[in-house]
Amino acid sequence: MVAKKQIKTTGQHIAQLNLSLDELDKHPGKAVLLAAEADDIGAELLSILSKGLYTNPLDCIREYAQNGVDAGARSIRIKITGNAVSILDDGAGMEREDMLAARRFGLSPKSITEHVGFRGIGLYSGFDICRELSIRSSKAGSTRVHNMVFKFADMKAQLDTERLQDSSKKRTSLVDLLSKHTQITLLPEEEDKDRSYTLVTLQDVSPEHVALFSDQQRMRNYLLANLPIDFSSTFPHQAEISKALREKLGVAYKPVKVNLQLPGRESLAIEKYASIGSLQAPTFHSIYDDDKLIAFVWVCLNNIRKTVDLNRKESDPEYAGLLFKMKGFSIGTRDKARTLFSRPQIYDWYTGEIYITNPAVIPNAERNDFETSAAKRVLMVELEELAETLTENADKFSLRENAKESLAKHGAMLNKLDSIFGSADSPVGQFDEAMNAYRDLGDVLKDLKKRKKAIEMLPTDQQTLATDINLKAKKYQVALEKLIKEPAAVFQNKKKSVKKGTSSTAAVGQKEIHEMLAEDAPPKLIDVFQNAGWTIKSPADVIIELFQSALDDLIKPGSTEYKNFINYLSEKIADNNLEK
Amino acid sequence: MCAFQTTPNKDCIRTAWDLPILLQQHNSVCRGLNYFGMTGPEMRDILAWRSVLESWTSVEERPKDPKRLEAADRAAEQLNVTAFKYGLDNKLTLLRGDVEHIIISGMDSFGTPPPLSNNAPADEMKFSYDLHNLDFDGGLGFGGNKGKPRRIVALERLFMRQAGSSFTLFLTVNVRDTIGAHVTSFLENRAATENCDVLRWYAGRGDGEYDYKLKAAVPLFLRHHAESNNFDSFFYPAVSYDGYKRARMVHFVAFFSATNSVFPNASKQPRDVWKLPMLRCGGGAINLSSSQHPGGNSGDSQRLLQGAPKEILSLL
Repeated sequence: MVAKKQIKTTGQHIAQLNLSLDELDKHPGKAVLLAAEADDIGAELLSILSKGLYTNPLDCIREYAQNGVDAGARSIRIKITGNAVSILDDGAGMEREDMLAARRFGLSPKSITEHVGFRGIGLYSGFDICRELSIRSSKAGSTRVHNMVFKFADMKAQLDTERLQDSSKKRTSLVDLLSKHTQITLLPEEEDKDRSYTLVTLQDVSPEHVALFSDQQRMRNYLLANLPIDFSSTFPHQAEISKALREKLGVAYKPVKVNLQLPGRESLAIEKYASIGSLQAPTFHSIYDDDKLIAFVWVCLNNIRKTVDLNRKESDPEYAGLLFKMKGFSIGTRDKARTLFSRPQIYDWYTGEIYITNPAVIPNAERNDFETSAAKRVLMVELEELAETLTENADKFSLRENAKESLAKHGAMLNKLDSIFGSADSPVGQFDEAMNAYRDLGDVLKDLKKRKKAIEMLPTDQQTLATDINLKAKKYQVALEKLIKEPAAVFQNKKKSVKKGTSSTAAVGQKEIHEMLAEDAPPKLIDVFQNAGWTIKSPADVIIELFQSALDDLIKPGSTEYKNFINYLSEKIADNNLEK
Repeated sequence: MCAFQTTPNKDCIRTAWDLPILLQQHNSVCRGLNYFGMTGPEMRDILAWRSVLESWTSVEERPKDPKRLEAADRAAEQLNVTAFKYGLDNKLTLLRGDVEHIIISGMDSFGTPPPLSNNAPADEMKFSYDLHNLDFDGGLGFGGNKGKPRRIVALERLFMRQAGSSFTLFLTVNVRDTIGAHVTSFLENRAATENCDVLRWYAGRGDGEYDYKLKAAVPLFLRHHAESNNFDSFFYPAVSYDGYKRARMVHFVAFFSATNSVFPNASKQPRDVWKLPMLRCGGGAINLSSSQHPGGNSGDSQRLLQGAPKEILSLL
């Protein structure tokens, strides 16, 4: 028998209350302490908290797994058999006293600095979804095995009955409810006293919840998003990231191996980042408040300058964005950190995790956000700064990659000109081909000018390539211009195709040449911004339209001044992109 | 406290009798065997045969009675713990319900079919296990006015389920059942058909010797249904022993080899399997039982058990 604390009867309780109230009457204006008793806390609290805090039935798996992690588990096995869900961990296990302490409602033996769970309610997270909760545990160093059973269905039945009864009837207190429907058994001894484990089983889970638990895709994605699961061995950067996390976080980094087995299926190892590719090497960022480390972040940028989840199938977990973690457990979803980034489209190019190490930053009970606090504010400010750095890095990467692609394209184009005209030194070819090539070369040179700063960020060999392309394009341009202006060459070809001639043929030809040799109409202002990667939304488009109109009125479109203005503006925008 | 309790006799049969037979099958198919049956929470069978097994589908009952259900739930939890302790959980599938129901209907109490099934509708569902271990906690059947006992139906259905897939059957039954009259009648009819004094001898066993009747009847019953489903059957001698709380148990072992025959198959093993000796396990050893049918001799064993593992033959 477990020794009970002395619980006062209702009569004794009221008597004590009356004493206090007498004091109140005797000394008006004086505050009198009011003692609370077990009967003051109703059993409904259990239902209210479990329903209110654990709206997602899968959260109970997280809670029980959390307990395993707090106990030092290295592996967790989750098994669904029929309508039973079992979570077995190889953590330190519990002796009798530990089980009795764990059972306390809202009172946890754990510490917020060392453990994930600390509120003392996680054990009851399965209250609303199963008939009974069974916890079986053996602690290392002891051969004793205990089994504690919470008969949740009986508790719920009692609460349901009382809800319907007359209001004058006494309602069960939380203490009485738990006392009546919780039991503990000493089981046959464990042979191996070094063995430790805890098995939590939810028996008779309600059918709609069983369907959810038996959905392999949802379970896998939930586990990946919420538990401190270890990286897949196939993830190219797992060794580097794991090492950095261990070094920086120490014992606070406790990844676990998780296996999931659904009814009639083989066991599935759940691994993080198993099917993700094309990421750059990770970068690591320590966030400090004064000298104290408050967060440690690892991020990888996608190599293909689009969202990390570009090739993601519906059934695959989402990896775009950053995930907040506390002691390995997720807080909220990957969308949570999106607001830190001023340009959301860049956010999805990244994947990573933000490990919070400041114990003053406290997750809320639902574990989807942090409680409001000064510590949280400081953290968010620092993370916003980091987000700016990451955005800038992504922009630079994008500019560099775009420049590389352009160089490759221009190089290929020049090679093609060689095959058409022979060489840039003395090209030979048809009029139309020359005209088209001349126009294209103009675009190449403009593009190289536009990307000047980006090219300067490239490796030396790429910069050399850019110089070579520039020179060759200019050489070709000069040579083709000469070829085009050479009357014999031009009209030789035109005579063959034009009908029996009029002198206007010559005039047409000259007019064509003039128009083609004249530099192309400069882009509109809005094109300049859009070509630089800006998204123009209302009312900015209206403003730019007005500027365009004013510009057209003041400076002749196509004039040198106009073109200089456009080029200058393009450079300014490129500089702004870099600085931002 | 779990319902199943092992005993030294059961442990002896598991290692000295069952394992060599499984080893021979394992060597023949050149792969691990897939097990279906009642491991019990301590999974002693799996632990003893682990070297020849590939996967194990374990069945734990799920009674309706709340008290029995509670005990069954604790047994299922213990099974999970045992599997974890010995590193067996990755290959373990747990089904809840009566094993007879699962064989007959093709699914457990929650509608989960065994993993090694073709997931077809119940009437067409096929299993492809290598080993069925049916350790019925009780007799072969409890008849009366409610028709054929479910365990008998389940055994008949097992051959239909396994059609096309060879398997070994370990069947252990308690001598306490209520179909004794049916067993006797069956033996008497076969004795008349075969004009066989040995069968008459078995049919005539009295009180306290019901295990002998089962010894003779069960292989005949199984062979009939096996051959109807195109299996070639090979029976080993039955072993009787005293189990938990001194209950008299009989352990049957047979290997059923799937054939392509379009007609009911005639097994290669000689028909007179009733001439196999009765064995007895006691004191940690398996020996010939002190009482045998008249005219029994070692020549019958040699003739009937050609191809059996030498460890088995050496016991005879």
